[in-house]
Amino acid sequence: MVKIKKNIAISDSGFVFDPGSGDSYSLNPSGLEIVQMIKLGKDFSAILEAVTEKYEVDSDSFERYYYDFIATLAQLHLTEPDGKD
Amino acid sequence: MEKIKLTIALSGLNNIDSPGPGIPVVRGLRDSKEIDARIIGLVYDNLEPGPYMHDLVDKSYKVPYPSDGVEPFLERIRYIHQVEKIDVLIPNFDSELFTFMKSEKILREMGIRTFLPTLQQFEERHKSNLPEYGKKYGVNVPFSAPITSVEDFRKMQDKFEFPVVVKGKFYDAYIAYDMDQVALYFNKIAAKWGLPIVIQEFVRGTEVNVIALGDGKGNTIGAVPMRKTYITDKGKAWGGITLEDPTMMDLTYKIISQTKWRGGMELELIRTTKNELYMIEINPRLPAWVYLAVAAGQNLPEALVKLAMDIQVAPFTKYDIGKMFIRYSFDLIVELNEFEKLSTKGEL
Repeated sequence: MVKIKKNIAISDSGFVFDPGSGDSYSLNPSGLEIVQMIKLGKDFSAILEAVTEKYEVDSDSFERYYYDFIATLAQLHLTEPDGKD
Repeated sequence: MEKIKLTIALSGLNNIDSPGPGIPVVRGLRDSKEIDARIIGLVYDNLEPGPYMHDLVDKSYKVPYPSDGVEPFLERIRYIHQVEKIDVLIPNFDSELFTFMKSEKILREMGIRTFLPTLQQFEERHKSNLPEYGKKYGVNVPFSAPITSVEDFRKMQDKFEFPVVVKGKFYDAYIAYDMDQVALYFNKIAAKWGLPIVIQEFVRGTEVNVIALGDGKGNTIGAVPMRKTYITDKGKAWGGITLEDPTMMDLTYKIISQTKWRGGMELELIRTTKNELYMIEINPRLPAWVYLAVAAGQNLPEALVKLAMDIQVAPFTKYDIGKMFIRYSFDLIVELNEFEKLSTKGEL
């Protein structure tokens, strides 16, 4: 399961701060919603279910966007290196 | 609690694009809840902004350059001390530290306290001695060698790969991508800061820094790590942010405890993509971004003055993470008569 690193601060406005590198990022509302679900410990299937129920998106498209997004988070060192869905 | 009244003299008031630490140190002292400071500026140039910043600096005196020798400097300090009764003196330039350390005893006899590294601590952390320093204290340092001519580098060129960093003994560093650039930067730096020039292996990564204060007994009184978020073409931080970085803190504690560092310092480090830390320099004084540490909860200028006054200082245990600074420029309007005073009388 993907895990956001414990020390990463995420505000309600979608502002993400990595205290280790000093870098900060902005999430859009959908990104923030997904990151919050990951932080709550939900795995891909739970997130897929929640998103497809709430938004008009098909499973295949969402899966592609989701893993793209996760890869970006990993590239920015925001996720634990061993966490995978 | 009643504040302790102290007269504190300090240099480094050149608050310019490559600023000295003087004004940020003064800001820390002005923030102090324990010290009521009368600030005496020691000025080398009539156009240093500090003497004209009257809300921060109470009185300024021109002083001779360290290169003029110890005697003219001491003579001037004696005069200033006679008038001002200096309690603590904080030199803020690398280039003047040697003179101050050499005169520490004489200053003390005059009644002026300092809190400086020892000559041994100062000498062994020189850029030209960094490889030995790394070996002695078990710290990663890039390979480097001092040279006194471009020919010296030509002879040892096989030990380096381009690019290399060409560094002055006190200030300035340039990345050179070929022999021509090495020669160019060698001449440029040597003309300004003298010899030797240090050639250093270029380590790729992110530059991170730690400001720290050692009590001279091996204890770290305070330490704050920072990453430069905006770097000027002179390599100076125009913006920075405090970090949460236990490895940088451990390295700082290790260096201070092993060397029993006395005084302020700045560790300049490179974090590689493999997450290794390389120490590229130790600056033997508080850096110009010291006010970030003050704002993050560690008033290191205040602590340094207390240590100089033999007042017990409890080590800081925390600081705010994610505190930022953004430097800015500001046109100070100066009346001609003020400039005239400083230029002709050497006092303002």
